[in-house]
Amino acid sequence: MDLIPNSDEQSVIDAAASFLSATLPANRLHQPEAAGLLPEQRRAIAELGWFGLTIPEDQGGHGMSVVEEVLVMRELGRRLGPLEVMSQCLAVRVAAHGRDRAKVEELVNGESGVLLAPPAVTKGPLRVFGSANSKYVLSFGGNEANLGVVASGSVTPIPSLDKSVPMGFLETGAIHVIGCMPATALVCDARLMCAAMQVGLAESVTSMVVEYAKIRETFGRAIGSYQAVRHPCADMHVRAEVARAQLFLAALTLRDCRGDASAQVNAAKVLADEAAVENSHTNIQLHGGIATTDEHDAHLFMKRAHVQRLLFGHLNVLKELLDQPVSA
Amino acid sequence: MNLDISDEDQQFRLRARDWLHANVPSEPRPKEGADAAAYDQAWQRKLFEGEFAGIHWPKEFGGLGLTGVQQIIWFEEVAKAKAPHPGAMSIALNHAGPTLIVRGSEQQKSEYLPSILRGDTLWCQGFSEPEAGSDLAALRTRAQLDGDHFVVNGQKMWTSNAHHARFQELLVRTDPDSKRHRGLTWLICDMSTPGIEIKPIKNMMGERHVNALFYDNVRIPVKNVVGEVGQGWSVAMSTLSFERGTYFVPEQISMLQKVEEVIAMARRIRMEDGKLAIENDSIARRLAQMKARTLSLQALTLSTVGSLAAKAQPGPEGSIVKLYLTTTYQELARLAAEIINWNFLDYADDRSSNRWTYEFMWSWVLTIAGGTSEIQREIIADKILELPRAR
Repeated sequence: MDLIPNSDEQSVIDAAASFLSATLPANRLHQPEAAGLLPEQRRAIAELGWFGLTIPEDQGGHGMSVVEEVLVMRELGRRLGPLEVMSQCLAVRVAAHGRDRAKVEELVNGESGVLLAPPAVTKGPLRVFGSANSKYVLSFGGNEANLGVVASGSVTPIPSLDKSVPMGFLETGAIHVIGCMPATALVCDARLMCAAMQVGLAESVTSMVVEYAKIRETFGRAIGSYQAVRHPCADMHVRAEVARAQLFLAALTLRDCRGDASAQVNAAKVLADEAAVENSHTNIQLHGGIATTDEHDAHLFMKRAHVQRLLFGHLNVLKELLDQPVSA
Repeated sequence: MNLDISDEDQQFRLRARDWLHANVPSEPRPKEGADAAAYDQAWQRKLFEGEFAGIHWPKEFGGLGLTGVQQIIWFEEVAKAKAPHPGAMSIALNHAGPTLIVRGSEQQKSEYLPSILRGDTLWCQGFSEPEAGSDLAALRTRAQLDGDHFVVNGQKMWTSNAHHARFQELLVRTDPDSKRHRGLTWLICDMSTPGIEIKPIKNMMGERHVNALFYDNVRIPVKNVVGEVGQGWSVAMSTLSFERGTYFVPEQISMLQKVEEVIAMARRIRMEDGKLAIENDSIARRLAQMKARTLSLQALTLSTVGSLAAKAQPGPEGSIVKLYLTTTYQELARLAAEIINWNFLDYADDRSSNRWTYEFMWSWVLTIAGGTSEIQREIIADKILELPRAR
């Protein structure tokens, strides 16, 4: 009983880290054209098997579990990887649930992309995340998750705080639903994936500021020698560690179909969001003036932390968690 | 990574569960004082007879030598059975005993260890002083060699159970010219030695649990030195090698129960606006956050236990647990205090008069004692993040 990646799990982490550092490092996002997930990147990621990681092999996937998926998503989050990866993984699940083998293959192979219309209360057009010319959209209504085809040209792009995540509006009438599944399980998986990305993000900004604190000097010594810097850094580390431990535990309980899995996943989302948001804020504050500039990486992490906080969550997660029984 | 338990550990769980259910005392623990100390010693005697004494002591010294995972299982079963905790026996079991195991002479081990396991002897701690809390190395209590005795003069603070302890682990400065960590010696102090005055300290909750101790020419035989003269600092640090990351598991488990109690309370109590506390969005949100934090305590413990087991070396990970658990506790206690509204003021210098007001004040004992939150952050900054030092 432990939360330490075994050698196979470590290989998954290392492979993901190696690929992402080479092809999708965080600082790519200073180029506006690097936003989103480009088709050739989507195909490269498909070759790694990420879109069908958790789908059984006899249905066209890799037969791994949410544990491996979480390890990949964490590396993705660490480098502000495209959100579209998560959308694609979720869409594959809907296709697999409907035993739509052709669609599973198309999505697992990265031939087409997926827009995400996350659950939201607001009426009217759906807020969507991803490339405006995506073929598919994953949306939520009632208690169902729907995979639909997007009528061409029906997404209205809108400016996004986080330029790495293209946003738009889509009328529900422009969606032709081709598959669905009960939303509860899919939302649980989505929350876990979001939490994983947030944990990677939280860890990333902690490293960023700790490294900076070792070399940046003021009043004759490294800023990391002042308690006003050391203690917030320690708090960042604790938040990230706690969020990571809870993320791993939640993934294990979900994989093992334990009765408390939903509560553990909700807790993971809450803590991961908190770690990502608070840490990305402290990262800016402790860097000082330069971190308020566009040129610096810090704002990219802060903006993404807020996108990922809003996805699949926050207030609904808290409401659910309050009522969920947990064994003591 | 996995949540599996070995067959051996599962057997241990069942054995512990059966024994605990059959042996948990029916009377509750008395209020702090001589009766509580006697209760704790009686429970220790029972554990000894049931062969469950010394869960983290090596087997060769009469303990169970449990792994971190097995200790977690033990504490889970203790919680389920509502069994007592070491209480007044905890210094002897968790600190003095382990120190003697690692650094005591053969003679000292055979003289002191068995009676701890049997619950016959209770120990207290003489480390902190008025001018040496966080900075323990600044301690000043002097011990001067006079023939085959050390003569001790000085003062110690925050000593629990001084009145009921038979022995004290006493850290003194034996080299008058030394500074800080050097020149310290770890002594076994017999509490019946003439010259020791115990003054209870009343805390803000109205209790007198801890004491100030004054030493006026207290004579301690040289044979009571543990380790070597002048090696006291390293002797005091030797208990770190026992650390499995499970020290706060009982609190972690009880916090899950606590958060559910506070949620239940919020479903019953009305606020000033007439609405139930749970209907207040801000309170509901904070309660859910507290639940998330409390759940994560288990994950953090698992993570810590695993990494300590893998490294086989004490590490600074314990600082993360201590800091996080105690600050979470404090936030929960604060939230409970707000929910109970005016009733927070109904307190009569006694825990039983208002549990939540008491716990609110108790939270500072947790964030300050055993290494303040500020010190824990310094340890994390130094040892984990390796940030540069100012001094």
